[in-house]
Amino acid sequence: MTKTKKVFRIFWAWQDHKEEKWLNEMARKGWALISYKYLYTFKKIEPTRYIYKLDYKATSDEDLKEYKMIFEETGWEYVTQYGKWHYFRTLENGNQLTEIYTENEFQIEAYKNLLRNLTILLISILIISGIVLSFYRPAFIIGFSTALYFITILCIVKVKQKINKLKV
Amino acid sequence: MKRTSPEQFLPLTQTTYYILISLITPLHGYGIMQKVEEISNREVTLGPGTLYGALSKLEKEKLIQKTDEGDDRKKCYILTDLGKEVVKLEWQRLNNLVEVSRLIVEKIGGN
Repeated sequence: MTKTKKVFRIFWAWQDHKEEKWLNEMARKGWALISYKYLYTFKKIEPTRYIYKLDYKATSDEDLKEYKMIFEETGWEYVTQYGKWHYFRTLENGNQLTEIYTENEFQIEAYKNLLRNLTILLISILIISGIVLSFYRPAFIIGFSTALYFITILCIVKVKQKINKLKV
Repeated sequence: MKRTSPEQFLPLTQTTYYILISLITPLHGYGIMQKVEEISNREVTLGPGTLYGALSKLEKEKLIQKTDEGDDRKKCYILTDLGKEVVKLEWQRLNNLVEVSRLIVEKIGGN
C-alpha cells in the first residue's frame, strides 16, 4: 500500500512561487503532491528533484484536454487542479525548460485574469455581506466578512505589485 | 477592446510575431513550438504557459482560428485573413525600420 499524508497549509493568491518552492522541497524529502483540496495530499516517493509550477487558467475548462496536452508534450506532467489553479511538475534535470512562461507578456496576462477574478470576489463579498448584515448583525458574521474583505484586498494589492514588477 | 483594423494590433511582441508566422500552415500546440524554434534558429523557445496564453488570446482577437483537423487534445490552428494582414503590416513596419536606419547604423558600425 502506498503511504500518503495530508498537510494543512495556507498560501494566498500572490504566493504561488512560495507554494512551488515548498512543493519542490517536499518532493526532495520524499513526498510528492497528488492532490489539493483544502488539504495537500502527498504520496511517499523516493526523494526526487522535481520542479513544480502553478498556472492560473482563467478560460473555461472546455479546452482542458488541449491545455494539458500542450504542457505534457513539453515534458510537464499534470498533477492536480484547485479551482482555476493547475499544478504541473517536471524533473529538474530531465527538462531543458525550467519555466512554463518564457517571457513576461503572457505571465502578466494570467495574473491580470487572476486580478479580475479577485476584484469580482471582492464585490461579491461586499454585496453578500451587505445584504446579510442589513437583516441581522451577529458579531461573528461582522468579524468574518471584515476578515474576508481585508484578505481579498491584500491579495489584490499583492497581485498588482507582482504585475508591476513583471512590467519593468 | 474591440479591435477590427489590423493596424491596431501593431507593434507585435517577438513571441506573438513568431507564433503568427508559424501558423501559415495548420499546426497544433507542440508543432507550433517546434516550428518557432526552427524558424528562429533555436533562439526562441516557447514555454507551455506562454504558448497556451498566446493561443487563447490570439484566437479571441480573431488573428488565428481552429481548423477541423486534430481532435480534442490536439487542436490545430491557422492564420485568419485578419491575422495575415497583421503579419504583413508588422513585416512592413520592421522592414521599414531597418531601411530608414540602415545608413545611420552602418556609420556606427565600425566594421
